[in-house]
Amino acid sequence: MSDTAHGNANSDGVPSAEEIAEAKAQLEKAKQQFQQAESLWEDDAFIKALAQKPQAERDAAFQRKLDIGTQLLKIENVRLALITRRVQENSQALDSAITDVSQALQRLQDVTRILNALGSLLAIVARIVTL
Amino acid sequence: MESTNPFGRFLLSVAYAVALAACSGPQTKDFAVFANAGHGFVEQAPHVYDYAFVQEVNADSAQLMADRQLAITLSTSVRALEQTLIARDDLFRQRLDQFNIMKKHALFLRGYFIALGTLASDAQAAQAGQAADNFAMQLGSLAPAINNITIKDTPISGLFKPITQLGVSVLQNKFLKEHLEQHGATVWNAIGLQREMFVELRKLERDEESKIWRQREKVELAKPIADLQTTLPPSWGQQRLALLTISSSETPITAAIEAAEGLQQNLQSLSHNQSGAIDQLERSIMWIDALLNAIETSKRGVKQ
Repeated sequence: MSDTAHGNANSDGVPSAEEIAEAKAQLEKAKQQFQQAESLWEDDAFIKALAQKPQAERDAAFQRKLDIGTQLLKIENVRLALITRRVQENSQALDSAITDVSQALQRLQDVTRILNALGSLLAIVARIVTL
Repeated sequence: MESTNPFGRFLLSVAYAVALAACSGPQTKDFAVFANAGHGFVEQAPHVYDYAFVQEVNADSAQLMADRQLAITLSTSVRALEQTLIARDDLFRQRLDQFNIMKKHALFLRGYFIALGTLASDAQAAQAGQAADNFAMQLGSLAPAINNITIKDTPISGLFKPITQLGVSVLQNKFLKEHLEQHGATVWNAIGLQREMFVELRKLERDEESKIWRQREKVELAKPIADLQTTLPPSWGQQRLALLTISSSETPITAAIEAAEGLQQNLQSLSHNQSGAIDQLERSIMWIDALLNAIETSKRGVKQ
């Protein structure tokens, strides 16, 4: 499996570059809307006015304020998931890269082993010759 | 005395060809330096994720503390706060799982850089040279006349070791270059994904700086000092220092982004047959460590 992003999501459901860009744009839009709604709560006059409202209205407004923060956290988790899903695919490709390096190392060690074997062979020949 | 022996001429020509091949493009040591720097980066990466998690939870706690103040001001039901805390804890558990995936990926990369570093190490060539030395010694004991052949006043038996070492270095270099051709994109993407995650975390960190930290300053520092009816908590000064010690422009996350970019640049240099300057990269990795240590020290100060 290729490690690079393709035009379409692959069979494991890893999103493509286009899908990621689209998802990011939508998440950014949603985030801005929530942040705009949240900024209302930085206005002291708004809070003072709300404090004068009936209990049910205050409770509902406060619940919405808390929900905004929770929704923003959810959006961030989705954004991070767009990366972690690709990371899992890349880990498989890295595994193959590690195998490749190990094989190259093995071939280098084979050179040393052949030289050692030749040395041992010559030592045996030398003993036979001197007998 | 210069030898006219054909074997001697062969050895000389091999040495020459090997030396020429060894001089073109990045050397084995450049791969070793890159592997070492990569290892340093992935050793720090899990600590940066720990740092990010602590900062994010702390920021959310600061936000909840401010919301609690708001609940008091508005005399609202406390049940909403309770439910919010539970919902957000679940979301942070999810985030912890995401960070664990990134940490495992960093461990994979660590394994890769260790393997690459071993392949590029001098030890491989030295071991082969030692075996060649042994081979030459056995050859000399079998046919003592071989010891008398010299090339430019150097006995042939003495040439086996350096030529084999050089030969193995060239072979190492060839393997490394071939490896990079085949798997360079995977390694590039792996570093890129870590970088991408750090960039996302930096965005979050900036949001927190502009909004949540200000609230934390209000709730944890300004409120207690302005409340003249109660005694200031003994840790107030240290809390203030801990908050101020965290620089808004340079954090372990910004240093990690810089290090990941440096690593990618070095990989690109190696891929394009150039040896890259690694000093900048090493400084970035040390900087991550220095920033993490500074934050740890300030936290320990608060706990005392």
